[in-house]
Amino acid sequence: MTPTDTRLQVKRFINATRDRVFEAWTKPELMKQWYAPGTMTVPNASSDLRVGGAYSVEMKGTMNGKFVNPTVGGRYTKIVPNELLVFTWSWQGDSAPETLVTVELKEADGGTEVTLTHERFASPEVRDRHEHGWTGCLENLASFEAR
Amino acid sequence: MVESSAYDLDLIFQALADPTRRAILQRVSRRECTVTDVAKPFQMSLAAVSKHLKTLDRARLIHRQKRGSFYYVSLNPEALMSAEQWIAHYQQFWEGRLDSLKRLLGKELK
Repeated sequence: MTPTDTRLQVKRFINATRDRVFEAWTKPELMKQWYAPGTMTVPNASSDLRVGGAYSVEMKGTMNGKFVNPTVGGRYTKIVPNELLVFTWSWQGDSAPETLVTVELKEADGGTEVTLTHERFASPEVRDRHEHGWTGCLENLASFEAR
Repeated sequence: MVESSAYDLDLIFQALADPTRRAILQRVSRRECTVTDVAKPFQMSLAAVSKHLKTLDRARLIHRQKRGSFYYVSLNPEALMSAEQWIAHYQQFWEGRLDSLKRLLGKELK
């Protein structure tokens, strides 16, 4: 086993235009249609698309035979329409620190290549070195049953 | 949603965030080293290395053992595994989400 980095990356080619992919990440009606894993659904999604604006995605359904209803949310820290979306990521009621998701969209072969990077920062200082100027605070956190 | 391990992921990720500490871990993952051994490839004082080792130790990423007059350092793979579980969890989550996004939008460009 070798020491790991603190981030992961996933790439996908999607047969749709960049503006359409960007909409899917930022329009609640579209976010509802793909954000929940497995058989879970998204009853509520919100997106205040501006730097510092909040988004949230409520998921609902069964996971490993248990009913769960977690909500993930955060704030947008960088927005370049149809190109780049950076947002913080944190589960409501979870004591774990927020993490950072970067979604890059590039035109490729008549479609869009999506590159997603999810990073976990251990301390605010480390995060601030990457993303300065962000001063958000999360709303009151409701607890949910972790799986 | 994935924090169930006995290890403190905050401390672990804080320790892993530094490239020198990752390099130190790499070194002690191959074999047990004395502190002087650990320091060898790095351009820094023993004191600086000790500080990094302390951070790694606090995160329980390494074992430190005193034998005779030397401290021996080795990797604690279990702690590293808990960090890798976090990465693996989200890897799987996002692979699934991007597949579902691909299915949703893939039908449109025809």
